[in-house]
Amino acid sequence: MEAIIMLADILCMLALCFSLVRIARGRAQDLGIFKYKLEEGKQPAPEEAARKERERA
Amino acid sequence: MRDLVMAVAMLGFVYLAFSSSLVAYLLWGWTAFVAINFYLYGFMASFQFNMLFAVVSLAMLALSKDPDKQPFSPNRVSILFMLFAVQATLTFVFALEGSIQSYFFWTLILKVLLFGILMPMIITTRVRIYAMVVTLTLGLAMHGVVEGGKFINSGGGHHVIGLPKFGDNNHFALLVVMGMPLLIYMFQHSVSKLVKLGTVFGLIFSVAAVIGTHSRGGLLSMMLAGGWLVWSSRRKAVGIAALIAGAVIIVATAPESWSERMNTIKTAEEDSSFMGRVEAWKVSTAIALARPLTGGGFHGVEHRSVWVEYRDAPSLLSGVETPYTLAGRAAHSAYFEVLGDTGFVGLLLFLIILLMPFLARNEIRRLSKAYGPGLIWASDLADTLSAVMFAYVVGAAALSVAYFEALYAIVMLMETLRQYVLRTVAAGPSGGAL
Repeated sequence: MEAIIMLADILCMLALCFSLVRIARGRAQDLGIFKYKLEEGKQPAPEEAARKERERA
Repeated sequence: MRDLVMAVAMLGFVYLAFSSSLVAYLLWGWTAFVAINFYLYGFMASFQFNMLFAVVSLAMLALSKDPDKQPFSPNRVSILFMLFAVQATLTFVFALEGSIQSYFFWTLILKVLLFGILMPMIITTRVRIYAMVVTLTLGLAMHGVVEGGKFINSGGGHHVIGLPKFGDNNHFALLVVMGMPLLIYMFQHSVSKLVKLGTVFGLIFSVAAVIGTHSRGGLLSMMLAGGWLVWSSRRKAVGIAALIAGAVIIVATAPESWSERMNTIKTAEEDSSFMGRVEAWKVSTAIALARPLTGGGFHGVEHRSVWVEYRDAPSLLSGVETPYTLAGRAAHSAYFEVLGDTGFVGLLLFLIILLMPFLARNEIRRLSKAYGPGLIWASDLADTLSAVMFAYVVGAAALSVAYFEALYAIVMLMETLRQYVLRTVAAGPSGGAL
């Protein structure tokens, strides 16, 4: 059981790191499986809005 | 086998770390929190994971181009961290001859403080703040899940003794409790149902692990952190219902040995193990009174020569009747630990460092409320981190946990969140008026 939980933890960390590298390279918008909720009616935070603006341009 | 799996995973981690300074930094943190070496028994057990990613992070920070990286700009917590590093250095230089662990703890605290000081340069956006939360959760929660799983699997027979890196069962219980609010935050804010399910299991297993430690302090920290979370929650009724349901399930399913142990909380003052702690506090204050500016050196009180020298010296607790022993022992309180180790100056800095997240939490909540729905997540995270801090502040009263890596990461993450909220609010409100 200990080994399985350890493996799951390692895979989760790998998935997080992989998502972050994809975001840094402009190939992804979110954290994949660790994607978080955007509150309803929420404006994007300024740096996210600026990033989207840059991408659109 | 697991060493082989870790070696293969390391290839991926190293490649990803060289791709991004953020990833290298998160891996530096994760390897410190998860203490993976203690779960390996073969050729990878002595591999310096933490050191490797610390070096890669520093190199990447200096050399890589990262558009979201910010130049170093001291904030109130990083200034406190730097002052504490100076105090730790003075403590090490002027340590008593018997404080033979001083070098180890001095290097540990410098490394931990450096990790914190660099955080505002790297954790600069919401995505990065959330990634840091996930990293902390994966690091801290794994311990609870592993031991809680064993406890449930054994039908309550498994006694959780903790990991050598963190200390005994009581230290372990506190570490697991500190991970619980982060699991709840991830449950609330994750989109993926799989992650939500994982956090629910993580929470159940963590509670089981705390029960398995038979730690009275762990139970107290867990109850108070739960109460703090409910008190600051936006959905108090749901929180109260969950807390009551949890308490009923624990009482109904916990083994009898646990219930008997927990019942002794009421009679702690008659407990010889508790009064032994008071004796250690007495010696710690005696060291601090004799050496108020630099203390006696890290964990000097644990060594017989230091203990014997200060056992009968004037102390702040001279009037309290305690057992009389002549063998060194742990300070058994983070506050007395810092006092004896680093003197009154060090304790003052430590207490201000602990106060900072609570002040930041109030400011973040106020600013987020005025800003509107766009910063609800920040307000929730401030509540979560303050619950972690509350668990620590309570649990640390009876445990030598002053140099826990996760503590300093949490303190700086709260400050980093505050800086983010200030920048966001300064950029313009999206709803409501300030």
